[in-house]
Amino acid sequence: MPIYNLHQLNELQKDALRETGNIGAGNAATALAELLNSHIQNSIPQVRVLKIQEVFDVLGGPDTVVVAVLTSIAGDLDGMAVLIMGTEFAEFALKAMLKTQKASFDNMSEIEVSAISELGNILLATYISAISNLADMKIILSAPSVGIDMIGAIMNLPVMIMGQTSDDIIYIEDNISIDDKDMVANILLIPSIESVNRLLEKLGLTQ
Amino acid sequence: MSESFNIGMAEMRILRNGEVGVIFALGSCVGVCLYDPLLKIGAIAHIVLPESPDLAYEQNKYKFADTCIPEMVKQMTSLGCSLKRTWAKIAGGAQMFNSNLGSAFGDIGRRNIEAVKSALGEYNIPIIGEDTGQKHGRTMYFYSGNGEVQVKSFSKGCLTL
Repeated sequence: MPIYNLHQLNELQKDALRETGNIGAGNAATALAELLNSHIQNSIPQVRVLKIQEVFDVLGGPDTVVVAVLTSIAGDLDGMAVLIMGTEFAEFALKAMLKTQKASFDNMSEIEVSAISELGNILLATYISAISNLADMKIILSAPSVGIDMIGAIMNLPVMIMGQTSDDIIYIEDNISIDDKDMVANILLIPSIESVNRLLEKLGLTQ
Repeated sequence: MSESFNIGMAEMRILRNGEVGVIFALGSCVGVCLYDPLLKIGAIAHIVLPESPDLAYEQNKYKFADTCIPEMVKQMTSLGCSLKRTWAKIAGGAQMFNSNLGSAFGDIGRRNIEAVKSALGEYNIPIIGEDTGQKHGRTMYFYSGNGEVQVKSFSKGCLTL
């Protein structure tokens, strides 16, 4: 029986979604390690069902400035995949990719935006393709969009899109950090409730 | 210090006795402040989408411009506010991303602003201060003691409406 309300997810189903996020993030971390030639760690993902008002509280406060890459996903799994980087993480990544010494976010050059966009594209595509293989689902990723601003302002759009017909959203959050340092990025997968049902069915976990 | 309240997405609050309403990080959402300067009563809302969809179940009416503004007006008039005195100040409605995320959402900020203006127009409430559009996020402070609204942003500093 499909769920029609996100609060109906049981612990086993949440575990499966967590493991799905883990496999996606593990692959993304490997890709990132190669790209930046650094040691990358990822923690155990979180699966959260939140009221749309609560989304920002769990991401470090709504006015924290972040660098974000957004893609919308379609096909068997639809929704959004978002990479959110703290400014230190993004700065480190930019320096490693562009072999420069300085990087600033209040006035990014075209090449810096393009590098961030490509970084997001690689991480999110690796993440999604791992999930696609795991669950045998066909998933299409849109071209990435880059935003640098307060996290609340950035997250307006995905929450808007996913919260159109519901007051709750689900997301699977993975933390990635570089070289044991305090530089963290999150990958958020925000699927529609229909795709949560399809994913659970593929994983053999419908009630 | 007066008490200050954080207004999350799809939330609305009546402010009086000098209370302060804060909306952190408006992107394509729109923050609407209504104020009766005589009674010093205000209402602040964090509107997410322009129109409520026609669904079988009831949704949070503060999420949509077309249902939130009538509710704000209703609650203010029930407290004795006069629409003849009431004005509005609005902020937000930015386009945070280029529109390849789906054309329906590329210009959601602009559609939110239009919907808010048309809903305020229904009640002939004048908009006396506005900082909308463009591409940056904003944090909005509404001081119900004097009706002042401050808008702060990461890239543009602080502005008083």
